Amino acid sequence: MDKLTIALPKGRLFDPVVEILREAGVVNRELDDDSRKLILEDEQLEIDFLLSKAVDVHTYVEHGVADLGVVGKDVLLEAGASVYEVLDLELGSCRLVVAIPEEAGITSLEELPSTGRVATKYVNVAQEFFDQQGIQTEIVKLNGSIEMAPLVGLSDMIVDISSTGRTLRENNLIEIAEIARSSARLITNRVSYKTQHQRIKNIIDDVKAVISKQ
Amino acid sequence: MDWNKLQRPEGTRDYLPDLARKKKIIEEKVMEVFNSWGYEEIITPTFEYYDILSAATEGLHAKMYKFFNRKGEILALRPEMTASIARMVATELREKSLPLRLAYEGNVYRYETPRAGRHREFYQAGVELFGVDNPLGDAEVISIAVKAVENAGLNNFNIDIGDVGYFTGIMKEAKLDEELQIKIRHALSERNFVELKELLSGTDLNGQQKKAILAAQDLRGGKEVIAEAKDLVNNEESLEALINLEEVYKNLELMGVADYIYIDLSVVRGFDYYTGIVFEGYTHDLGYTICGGGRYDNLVKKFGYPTTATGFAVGVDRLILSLEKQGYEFEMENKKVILRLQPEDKEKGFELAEELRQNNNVELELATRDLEETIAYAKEKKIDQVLNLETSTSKEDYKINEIEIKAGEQDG
Repeated sequence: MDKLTIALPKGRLFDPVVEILREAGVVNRELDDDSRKLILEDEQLEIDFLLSKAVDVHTYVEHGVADLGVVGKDVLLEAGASVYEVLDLELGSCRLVVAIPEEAGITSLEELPSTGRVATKYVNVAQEFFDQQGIQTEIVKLNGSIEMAPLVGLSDMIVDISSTGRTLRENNLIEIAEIARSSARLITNRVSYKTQHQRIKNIIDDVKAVISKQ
Repeated sequence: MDWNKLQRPEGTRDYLPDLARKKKIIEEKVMEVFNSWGYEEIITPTFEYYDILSAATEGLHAKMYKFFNRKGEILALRPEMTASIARMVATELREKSLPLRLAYEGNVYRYETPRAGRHREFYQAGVELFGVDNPLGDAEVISIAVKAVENAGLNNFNIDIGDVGYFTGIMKEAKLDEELQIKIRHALSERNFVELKELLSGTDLNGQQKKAILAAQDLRGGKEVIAEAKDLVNNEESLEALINLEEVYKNLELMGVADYIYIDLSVVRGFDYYTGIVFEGYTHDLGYTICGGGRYDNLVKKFGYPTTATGFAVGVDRLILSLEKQGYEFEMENKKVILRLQPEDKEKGFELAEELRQNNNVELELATRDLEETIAYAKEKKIDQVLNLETSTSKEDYKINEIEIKAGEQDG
């Protein structure tokens, strides 16, 4: 049997993902994302775990150095990665939304002026969305604290993820459109899916069974 | 010159001697198989009218390098070969009897984000079979794909075959609109099962039809898969597709290549011009496919000549990479020799070099330097032997000092 390599996202998703995988019998050892070691081996199950930054998981999988991975749909959309998205883990649910300062008095996309400036971490997703809506936008790439951009006059609106809507509210932003729904997805490399089909298929089925119990 | 301008444009690469040699060897081995099945090599232009190229490749429009000629017409660098060959068949080869068996190898261009195994200029080799619309034609092309990859030296590979007719039949039966069909097919080709499920839940497909589509991800294996799939559908087009697949598989068994073949109904390929059988090859050593193809009966028709077609292409660069990962020993070159001679021995030296060139690669030492320096040069260049033609008194009376350079002796 070939060794299987699974890339896991450090951070927010790590613990719940490991929990599911443990229940599905895929994880059978201690896994800690604070670990200094980044490659953790399970010799008994013949699985290597790569601890990756969440936005890099798809890169390991796409290149085939990892066979499987877990990554947020928002990241996948932005990256346009060539991987197979085989299962929704229904974890870390959030939505990609367009939000605008309340004082602008705008409540829907239709009311937007035909041009505008958008601050976001998701430049590709935002560009594609506004192109489809026929709204001419200038995208400003930021890496964090996106909500601040309209407050200080850097942009007219933002595109960002929102789970409860609290951060938006606290910054006096209101959501005017939803671009996509996101949650953690199980992805596989395109060739691994074939060459290790039975093993990967079993993992998918086992994980699916765990999720449906929840 | 600005340092930045000395870099290669992103996504291109230089083939240094070692890689260039491997590429040549692989291309020859692949072409040898194509020829042996009666396929004749053709060469088409590197650039064509954009309209021709875009007729074939729905998914590649935004990835083509386009430019204008002086008349203002739009041209593009070919992103693949099939469109050019289809144009050639619909025009210059129109009067020729069918079937037409054509082979090619050449570079193609796509503006893509360079990633593992993905360049903006890369090399493809392949065949196209025109005017045969039966399973035997499909089997022939798949068989050639197996033989070509095998002949190139790869042993650790498989080819998965499916038939897009299976899904088209189900979707047509449910009268899904074109746009939704394309979305579903896209989700299938990306094996995006999450999106697939979402797409299907919003459609008029009945429970059985949904099941038949979703089941495709598990319909993978030997010919028993076809029987399983037959129980899932009852529309004519899907069933015909499955019967065709069965016939193709039988032929592949008789051709002795079935060991390499899996039936995988979820193979639908990215291009939306495929109309029947589709297949893709991959190796355990590489995270992406090495070859792919299928039946595309509607393309040549677009150029005004209704004829059917099946073809495939193999990525030469990916094949080389797979072979290297497999630890494949590429054929040895001739023995490499460097010949040192004194100015007064030129006549004898040249004669000797000519003789040696029968089965050696012989370079003449053109620099004036000590024997020690020639030896150091030979080591660096991995030359096998230094021949030192020592000064002689007459043409017949000469002495050659043979110095073998042992492999692994390359010291810095």
